[in-house]
Amino acid sequence: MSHTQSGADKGLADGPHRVSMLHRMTGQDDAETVGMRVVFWLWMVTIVVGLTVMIVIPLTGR
Amino acid sequence: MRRALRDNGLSLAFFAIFVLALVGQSLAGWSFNNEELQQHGQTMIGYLAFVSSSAFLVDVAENWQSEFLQFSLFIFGTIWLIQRGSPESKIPGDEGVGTDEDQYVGEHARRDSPLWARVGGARRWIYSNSLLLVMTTIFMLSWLAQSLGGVVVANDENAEHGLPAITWAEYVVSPEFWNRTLQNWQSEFLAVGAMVAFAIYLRQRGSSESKPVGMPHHVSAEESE
Repeated sequence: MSHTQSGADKGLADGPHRVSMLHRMTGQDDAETVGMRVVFWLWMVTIVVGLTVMIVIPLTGR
Repeated sequence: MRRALRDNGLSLAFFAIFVLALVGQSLAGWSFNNEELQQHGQTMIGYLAFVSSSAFLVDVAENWQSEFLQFSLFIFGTIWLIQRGSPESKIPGDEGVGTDEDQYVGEHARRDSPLWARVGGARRWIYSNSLLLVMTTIFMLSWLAQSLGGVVVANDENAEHGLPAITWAEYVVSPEFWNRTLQNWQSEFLAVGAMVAFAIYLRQRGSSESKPVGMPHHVSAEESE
């Protein structure tokens, strides 16, 4: 693991707040990115809920 | 708040029209479904019963799968295939996944690069392909949903006509399933192909999907930056 990698890992791991999965993957921690995270999860949750409904309901035979 | 709305206007506007279109589809579908029930002398159903039925969900899933297939193929295709002059394409000679330096990964990462681009191993591979992985997964699950809903609807119709029920395995090789599937796929491929080709010679001033109006036809958007 390179110096950059370990530094990046350490910097986020040592943060005072619990960080989200997306947050850790992207390393974004700026107030301006709040809206970006909101729209990302808005779409992701909508699709996951939609897929779950579309798969589960037919399995019940309705 | 106003700044957040402006910064995310594109995805929020599309979310709003997605919800409106889905509600519109459900209302029109409910009305159409009840017309058909009436014509067959059957009892009409309520709105909630309709939107939680396979009859409605199969139509939604059928369109979802084709859209996500379209984008999955486009994301994959644009790694390896080129269209000279199209703003949707990389420039000739840039085919492939690019070098670590081009992609700002590993030791070439910027200080503000995403963490999973800076680290190595499986995490970097997953993050490097995360868009295609997610879009393809949604396509596969939507297609599965279409098949599950479709077999329920097909068996309802079979029961009305006194025909035996079919299994899921029989449904996914049936002409009905492939007719529903391919009629959506052809329209998606048409739209994507036309967009790639039209954007060589046509322009939309101000759109990120277009080259600048005065850019020569043979120059791609990437070259013009």
